Amino acid sequence: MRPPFTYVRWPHRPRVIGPRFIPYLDAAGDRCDASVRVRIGARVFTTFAHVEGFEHVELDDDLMGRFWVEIDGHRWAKTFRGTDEIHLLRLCLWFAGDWLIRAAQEEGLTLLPDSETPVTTWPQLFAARA
Amino acid sequence: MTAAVEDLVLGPRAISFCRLPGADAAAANDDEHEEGSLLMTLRSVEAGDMLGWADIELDGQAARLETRGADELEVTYELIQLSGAWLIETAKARGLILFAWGQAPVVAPMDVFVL
Repeated sequence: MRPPFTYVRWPHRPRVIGPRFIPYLDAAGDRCDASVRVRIGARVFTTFAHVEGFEHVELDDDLMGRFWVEIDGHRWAKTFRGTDEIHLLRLCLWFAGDWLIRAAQEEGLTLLPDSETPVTTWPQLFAARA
Repeated sequence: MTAAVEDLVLGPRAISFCRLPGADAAAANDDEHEEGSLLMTLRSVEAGDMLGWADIELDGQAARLETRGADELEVTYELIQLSGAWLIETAKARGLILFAWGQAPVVAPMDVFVL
């Protein structure tokens, strides 16, 4: 049995959300900004036409989102499928935020140096700052 | 001439809910689940600020929740918190269960957007 065939179609004008700049102190104590940016709008189509017994199954159609996150020269990007844009955005904020916290710990960086409490959970990175 | 910046519209997101109480909800079939909706709109305003609002509806009750922020991700995060809290409170007041087919009960605003 052959696997289903999947293809991605980006719209003419994908939605780009961000960047959000997140201040941090690097290992030397200098103030810098990390960034998070999200792009949403691609649709992923999966056809089962090549699967025996599933020739007449309708296309699967998922929304796709991708985020880029960067801190202190380290970068990461990841793509998700989701049911809608708000769902995808929440996924992107969650994974980007968790990665930033982990990267900061490993590299000895201090996220949100003006915050009264250490950053340990991803929502702290996206909540309004005083 | 500068082109006007279009509003950024996110959604709609379907909000699944069920009227059955407790354990019955998990066993309910798809026909017994209904849907509310959530649509977010973001607009650039003066001084680089963002204005955002969420148009939200659940079981015939509707609201528009607004917030302002420094950038799009801050505004969308705040709208997720505001609309999630509104949905949980409204569902509680009307005896509804949100996302009854999920693995865990929806108790915090962020939970509304996991599934």
